[in-house]
Amino acid sequence: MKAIKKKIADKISKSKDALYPLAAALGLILVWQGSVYVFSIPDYLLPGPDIVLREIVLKWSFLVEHGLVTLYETGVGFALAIIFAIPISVAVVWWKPVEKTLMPFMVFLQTIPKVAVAPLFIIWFGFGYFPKILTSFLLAYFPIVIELITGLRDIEPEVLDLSKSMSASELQTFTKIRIPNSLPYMFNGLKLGALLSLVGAVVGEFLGSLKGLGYLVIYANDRLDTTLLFADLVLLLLLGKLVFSIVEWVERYAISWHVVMREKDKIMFTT
Amino acid sequence: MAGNRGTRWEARIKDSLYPIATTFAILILWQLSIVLFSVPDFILPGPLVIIKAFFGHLRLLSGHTLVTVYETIAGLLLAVVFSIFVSIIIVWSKGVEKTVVPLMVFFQTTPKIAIAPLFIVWFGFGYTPKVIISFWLAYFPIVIAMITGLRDIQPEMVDLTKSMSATTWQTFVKVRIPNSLPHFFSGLKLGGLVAMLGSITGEFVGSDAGLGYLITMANHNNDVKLLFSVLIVLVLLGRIIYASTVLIEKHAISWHVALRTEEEKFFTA
Repeated sequence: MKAIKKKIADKISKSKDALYPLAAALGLILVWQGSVYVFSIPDYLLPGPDIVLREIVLKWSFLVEHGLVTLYETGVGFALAIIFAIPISVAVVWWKPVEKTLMPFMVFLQTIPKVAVAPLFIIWFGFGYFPKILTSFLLAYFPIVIELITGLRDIEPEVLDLSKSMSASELQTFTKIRIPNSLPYMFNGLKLGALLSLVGAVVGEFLGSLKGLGYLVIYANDRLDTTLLFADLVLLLLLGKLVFSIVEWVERYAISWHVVMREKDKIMFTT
Repeated sequence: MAGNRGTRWEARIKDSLYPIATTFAILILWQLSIVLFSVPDFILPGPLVIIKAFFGHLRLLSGHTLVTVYETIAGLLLAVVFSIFVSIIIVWSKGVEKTVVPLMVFFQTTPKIAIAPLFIVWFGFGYTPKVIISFWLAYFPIVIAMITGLRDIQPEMVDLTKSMSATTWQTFVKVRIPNSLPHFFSGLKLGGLVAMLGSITGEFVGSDAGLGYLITMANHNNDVKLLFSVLIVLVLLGRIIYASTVLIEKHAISWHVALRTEEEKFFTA
């Protein structure tokens, strides 16, 4: 009985906590609307929330059409990153020379701005989907592969001793210990990778494209159509949330044993 | 002890042979295939041609590099100053924390860089919008690291200061601030990298100077040699910015760096 009461109290305090940011967001939107109205700010500088909302409703099918292009590029880049990350991480963990050769490169590449390579892809592969998929792959690949390597490699020594003392084969240790251990890490990498692959697709579209939300940003920018720009940004925000939530949802089902035990969600830093 | 250190260095040098040998092999293979298949320069120039172009464009490159460096550092400094203020306010007041932190976490799952063109509309083609974009990207990792560092103190430490009847102010200065420094520096390292990314992307979107501008120019002119030269500068610049934050960290909090066991991982775009 007490436990149930505590649970209910927890739930109430949690929903109470959610009130603060919601109230703040609502307050900000009201201030925004109010100041646009009071100071009669022109739309090309800062459109009010009502006008942005109307734009989204009016141009919904147009926005969705471009959104689907970006989603496609993001999804394919992300999927490619996963497909490449798995065999590479296994190879790195399995063979020491591969680790010694590849890891320094991967660590090195972390400190350079990878989006700068995107223009090269545009020169090589034109204005179609492929260069954006490549950029999106390039950005998503590293967090996924490095988290996977960490998860497969960093096992508690006691667990390894245990498996040895029970004369487990290498393969058994791999499937029964290393792979389960790697999953929480992998999902951290996937969450960040999903967000970065969206960034990659958008920046790729910035540089040269005819479709997609990134293209629309530049299109609206060139025409000083700030209302469209804001509508586009709202859609990008939603797309980011969607992509992130999908990975989070899969995580909750795939490794519920870990998600439940986890004390705090890791905060992802994206660009 | 000395012998130990010697063998450790030897092992390090031996380990670094693998990537160096691979790099050389890739460069030689690259150069050979360019010569063998006579790949034209506007598709893929060989390493030798790129190095020649790099030194030929040295004056052009250094001028644009200074612009990007300025935007990056200005944005990063702004982010640091703002983060310190905001994080102290947040740690001081529970109400502010409950209001602001969820909003900041919310923004973490959105592609922040997409806002860059908006800053161009508002602030024109000069340095200001790029500085703001650098600030915007660098701010989040630094402020969240600061908040974590100021807030998450070991409970034993809090008990200790209480039992010694330290004031809240004393606890803040003697316990919370030192505790926050390692977090701050790891935020700063990531912040430096994303600040540079921000200024480059800002230059992509609209500018007349800087390395990002040079990239778009080279892109429009199909000047792949220049493009690769800029990439070399970007690699060097990324390394320099990262290495300088590491160096500052090493001097500022040597007590922590020497003891740190966990490897830090940064993922940038």
